[in-house]
Amino acid sequence: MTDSQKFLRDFEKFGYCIVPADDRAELDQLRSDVRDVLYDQLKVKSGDVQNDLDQIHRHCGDSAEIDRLRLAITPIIAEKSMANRRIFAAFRSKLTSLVGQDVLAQRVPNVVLQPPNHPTPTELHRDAPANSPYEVVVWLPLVDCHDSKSMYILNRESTRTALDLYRLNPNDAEAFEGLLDARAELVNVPYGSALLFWSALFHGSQINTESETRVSLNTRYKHLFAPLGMKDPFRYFEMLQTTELTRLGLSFQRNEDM
Amino acid sequence: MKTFLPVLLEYENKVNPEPGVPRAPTFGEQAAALERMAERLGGMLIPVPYVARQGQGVSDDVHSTLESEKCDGILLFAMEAIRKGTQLDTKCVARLHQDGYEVGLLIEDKVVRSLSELEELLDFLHVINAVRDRDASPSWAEVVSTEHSR
Repeated sequence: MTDSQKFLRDFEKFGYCIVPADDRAELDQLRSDVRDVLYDQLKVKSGDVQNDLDQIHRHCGDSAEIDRLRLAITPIIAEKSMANRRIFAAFRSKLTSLVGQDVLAQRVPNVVLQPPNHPTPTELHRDAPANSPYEVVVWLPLVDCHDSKSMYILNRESTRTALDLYRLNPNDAEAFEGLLDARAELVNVPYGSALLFWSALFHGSQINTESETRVSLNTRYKHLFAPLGMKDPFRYFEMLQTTELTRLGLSFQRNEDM
Repeated sequence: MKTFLPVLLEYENKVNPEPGVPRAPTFGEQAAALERMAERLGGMLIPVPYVARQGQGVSDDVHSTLESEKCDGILLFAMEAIRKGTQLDTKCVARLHQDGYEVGLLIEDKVVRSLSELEELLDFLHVINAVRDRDASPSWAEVVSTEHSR
């Protein structure tokens, strides 16, 4: 079995996979851009990229300031770094094997800064619904992520078990917490790799009790003609690439309008 | 100075118009945002806005309004302003451009001035129309509107 076949088998079985980048240079450029934008906003002199990102909490104030910083840099990184294109390019072989060659991409990837002991980790949730269940989520740490500095995920089977439990006993928070403790997997994802996961899996994060900040991006891709979720496609997505045949089809339709 | 016809969107649901959005923007908020967009494009809005009801789109009288008001362009609050049923009105967008009007979309942050910009927009509209047309069954709507998160 080839690596590609193993990836696809595991992705279907578990709903997620941790994969190394095909193109590390794209990733390095993106990480460097993110560091530059962050340090430019903070007006702090930068040094080693990895250390700058790991230690960014030393230059930030309280949670409100971190949130302001995150909101300020998100559109800059999307536009200046063309983050969705770089992420796609970095993991092209795996992503195209999942969504195909006609690709719709999230316009503005989300930026997450999770400093040590930051009191607001991401609550347990799943994207679909309301997002499309035909989306793949790319969770891309720009630092080495492990233990509580990382995120947790429930694989397909555990997500199904959690849903069944919730539907049967919607008010039994204790049982749900117990299931989470037993089933949630904290993923170890070193810089240079990404977690690709199906949009219908439960996931979230804990308070980061490590001594370094988690800096990560997350974004979504789907086939151009795959079913939409409820979100406004024009606000959340853009066409990333199309095949020659699709371009012919679209030009045919366009000519009907003009 | 250029003049633009503002097109406001009367939302079907004023509460939770889409997931994560608690309420629809008021006409006043929409007009203020469009005013800023017009200024950014080097122009101003004409005083009387056109109101499009979500799902019904704009009708042909928008073209006569543009002509009688001698507008240089049209600024839509959102792409949703040209949706009729499940379909976005691609012919309307194409006609606006062919008649020489600048077309701006505030929410989507797009301006169509050139043929290539029009083609890019029409391609996306056709993709979304195809997907929505196929996904229009009530069963699918129920699936995507069902919230399972905790």
